[in-house]
Amino acid sequence: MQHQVGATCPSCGRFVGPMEKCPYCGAEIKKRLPLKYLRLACLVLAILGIAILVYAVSGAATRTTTIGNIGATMNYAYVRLEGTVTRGPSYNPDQQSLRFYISDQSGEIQAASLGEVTEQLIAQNKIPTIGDKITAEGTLRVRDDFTTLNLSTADKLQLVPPTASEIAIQDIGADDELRLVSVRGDVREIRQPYQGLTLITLGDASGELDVAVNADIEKLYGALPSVELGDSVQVQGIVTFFRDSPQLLLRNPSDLQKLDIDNTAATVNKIGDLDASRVNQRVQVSGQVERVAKFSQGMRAVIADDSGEITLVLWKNIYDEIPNASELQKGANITVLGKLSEYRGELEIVPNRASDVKISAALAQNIETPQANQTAAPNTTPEPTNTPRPTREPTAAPVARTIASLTQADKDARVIVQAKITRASEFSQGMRYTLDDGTGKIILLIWSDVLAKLSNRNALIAGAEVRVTGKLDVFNDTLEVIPENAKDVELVAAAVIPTVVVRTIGSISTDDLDQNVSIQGTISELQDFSAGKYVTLQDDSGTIRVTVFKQIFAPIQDKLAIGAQVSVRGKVNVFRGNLEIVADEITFP
Amino acid sequence: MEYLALVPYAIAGTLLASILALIPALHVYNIAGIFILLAVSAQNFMGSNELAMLLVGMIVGYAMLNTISAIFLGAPDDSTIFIVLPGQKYLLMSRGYEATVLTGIGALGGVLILIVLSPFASTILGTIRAIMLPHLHWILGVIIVYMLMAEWPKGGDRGATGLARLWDAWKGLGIGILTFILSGILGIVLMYKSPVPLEMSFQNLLPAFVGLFAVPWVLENILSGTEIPKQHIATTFDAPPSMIARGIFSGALGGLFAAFFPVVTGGVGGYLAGHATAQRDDRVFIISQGASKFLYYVGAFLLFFLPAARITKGGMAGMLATIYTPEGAGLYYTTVAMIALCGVLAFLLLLGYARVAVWLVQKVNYRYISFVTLFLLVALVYFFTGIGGIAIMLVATPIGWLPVLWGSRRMNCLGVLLVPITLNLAGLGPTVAQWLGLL
Repeated sequence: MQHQVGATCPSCGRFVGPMEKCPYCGAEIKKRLPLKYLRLACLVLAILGIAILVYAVSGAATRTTTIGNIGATMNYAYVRLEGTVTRGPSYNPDQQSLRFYISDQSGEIQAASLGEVTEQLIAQNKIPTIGDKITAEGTLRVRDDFTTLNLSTADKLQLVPPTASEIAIQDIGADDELRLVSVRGDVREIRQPYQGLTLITLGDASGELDVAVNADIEKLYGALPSVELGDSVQVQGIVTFFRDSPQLLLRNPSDLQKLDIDNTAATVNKIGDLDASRVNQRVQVSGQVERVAKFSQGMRAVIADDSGEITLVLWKNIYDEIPNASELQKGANITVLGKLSEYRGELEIVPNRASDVKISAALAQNIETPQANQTAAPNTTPEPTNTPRPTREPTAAPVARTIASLTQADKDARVIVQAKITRASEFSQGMRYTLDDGTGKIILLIWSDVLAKLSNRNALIAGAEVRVTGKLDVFNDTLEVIPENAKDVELVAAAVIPTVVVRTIGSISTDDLDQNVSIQGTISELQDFSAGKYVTLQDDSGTIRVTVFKQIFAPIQDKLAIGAQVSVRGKVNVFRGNLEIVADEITFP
Repeated sequence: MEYLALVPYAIAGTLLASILALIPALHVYNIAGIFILLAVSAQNFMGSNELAMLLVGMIVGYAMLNTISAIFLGAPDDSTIFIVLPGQKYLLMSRGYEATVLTGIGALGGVLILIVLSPFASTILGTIRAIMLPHLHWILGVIIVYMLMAEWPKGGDRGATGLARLWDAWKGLGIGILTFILSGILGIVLMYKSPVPLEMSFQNLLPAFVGLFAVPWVLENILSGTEIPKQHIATTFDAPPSMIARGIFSGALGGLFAAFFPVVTGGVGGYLAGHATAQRDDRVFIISQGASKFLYYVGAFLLFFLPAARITKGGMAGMLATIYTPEGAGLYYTTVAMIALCGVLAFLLLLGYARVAVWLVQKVNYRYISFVTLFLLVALVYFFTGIGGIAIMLVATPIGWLPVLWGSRRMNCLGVLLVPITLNLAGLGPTVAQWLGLL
């Protein structure tokens, strides 16, 4: 029988078993290394290794990177980012999720917190809000179409809120974007374009702007103070731009405060003091109506005070809303707040809303006011100048024109325009299309009765080329071409529907503005509005509102229901400060 | 027609994986990582659909063919750690070839199940996922408790003294729990303060997995110098259709669960399904593990192509998702077709490669293979993760070796995934990381 090495004494050759010293001759027995030593060594190494590793890395600072540096191979990296909050927060109390965007010099990224971390952020009053300087730590989740920083803990998030500077509305410009400013003004309008957003129009002596109040802010910080029309308020908000117009985004409902002072926009100007240097400013004048004349888009009136006279332009939609519009007659007293503009060298005041026009009926003693005669009204009476119109209409055959060549001087002329549709929007009495022929843009306005007769109406979408014969008109200083009959609108080339990649909702950002995108998701909310439906769509990466106009919505209205899975193709837009998609097509996969 | 052009890429992926499968302990995700790196760094490296199909072919080939290295070369990964025991039992009975083919039959069953389920997956899984999402943390907690509790005290009746018997009974379980805790701490370190370079974070777990699973096997082979008996290449298989069906059913339960449920790997899924269906026959077990492994790897990757309800589960989908978004039902069904095609091709390759493996283990010294493998592993870890990764691998290796030396389950090493993710889902991850001084 052969024993293993170590079982017999190398000196006397006797069997010694596990003995380490031969009991017969006393020789040292060389043993194989017992497994238990290896086991113990492994156990010690395992524990020691982890202890050393934890010790070694525990003191190290979290690695900082720039947003632009983040790439596919950094998926799951735990990093620190520094930047400014550029959007948000959007808050979902059901899921306890908070989302916002961080931007540095190199790019923008969505950051999100969930559950416990969101609760911590709220409890510690560390809610990242637009305009805040931020340092945040979290794990990167990199996907082909979007990247998110998932916040790890509220303790690793630092915020430095911006400081506000007081400014007049008129002075807010592009350089102020994302700055915190403070403005004072009176509340001129309060509206809720859709659930989740309140817009408060604020006016001061220099102008007007909207203050956007996101419902998520109210969910996080409490309700907005109750304000009413005419209230004088001070608002701190971040300057953002919606369709090139500045608006203030409220960071916290408490940033809107009521003031115990009179209407800040109520300064009445002497008409004679107004000059071209104040064009585009909001001014308020008070005087007596000298004469009133109707024109195709509304009413014109001349107002005079003891310093001079000025033309008041009341667009039809404004005029129709003035409760006592019928009292706008010669001799009536009137106070008007509106934008000062210049037309053919003459100053005009153009109010933006009906409530800006206050008319009190002409009193007997006012009627005899002699000043009206002093204005030499007959000399400036516009009616005679209108008379050439009949002679022009039959003689002038419509002429093909480039858009750039059209000016307000061509008002009422019949023209032919061939251009591509770049935007389509519905309004209560028809459709408005923006046409672009490469030289400029013009509005094509098709009234409902003409629209109803158009056989190719559905083909009139962005990208389609049309040839339109119509009368030129001016509305709100904007040129419009208005066809009289359906045959005046010819489809030259149908729109080429671009193939677009299906994107996740979270990946859509302001970088995609005016781009065609395609998304898929589940309908989580439906809301009617005058021209269609707002559809809130969600997928794993986020939610977005889709605006669906009637012409898109009508054929599929039976299928549009909460919980339905849909594919949407459309153009990215920013509406009231929020991203939305204006649907060109909705399908049900 | 455009999808037909993708066929060569899928087949190329399977052929590539078939070569990789013969290199023990080399995981398909490591090689896929190289392709992802190339796609990120080299412009016009390959079309995105083409790359996706190459990876589909690779994962199908790997899921079918890594059985060979698992059984003949004893190199289990996290999904094959259960095949190894009965598989190596077969190997030592000269029936390694038979065990390999039985696993392949199970995997073929997995192909069939994927094809049958593919039309329904989109509608069903989105709903199930939405229901499960808020409950993930406690379900994972239950799985962990079950994993640990199932390794109940055993062998406590032979010691000379009471204390010795107590030690005998509890040492396996104790080391199992310790392994789970240590690998869990390693996972937490990797989540918050990984020494792996930021730019390579997508391979964060590579050094840990190599250290926990691959290197201990290599060291074991180098130290033990195992000799493999002459293998018999059987022409018939002792597995009636009912047994194959039972095996595939059992494996499908585990594999599908692992494919769909976050964090759970094929090993854990197979383990749970094995217990749930109480399969005791070795043949059923081997077949079930073949099906489970295939469904775990390939099923999880297929979910990534699901239209509308795209689910990113598993390492391959996780990597590809960073650079690619699959589109539409057409591509999804193309992927199903590629899986079927590559699955059958891989099975045929398996039959041939198993014969090669039989020849190889008898001709080539096991230790040489082990040394070469160790070199490859270290080189791979260094290439992807640098010195930091090597350090992680060195820390992970003794942890991965504990179950081998102390006779507990290697599955406990999956604490590296289960612990940090379960803690995070429960909202406790950062707190524990703060206790460890990591945050």
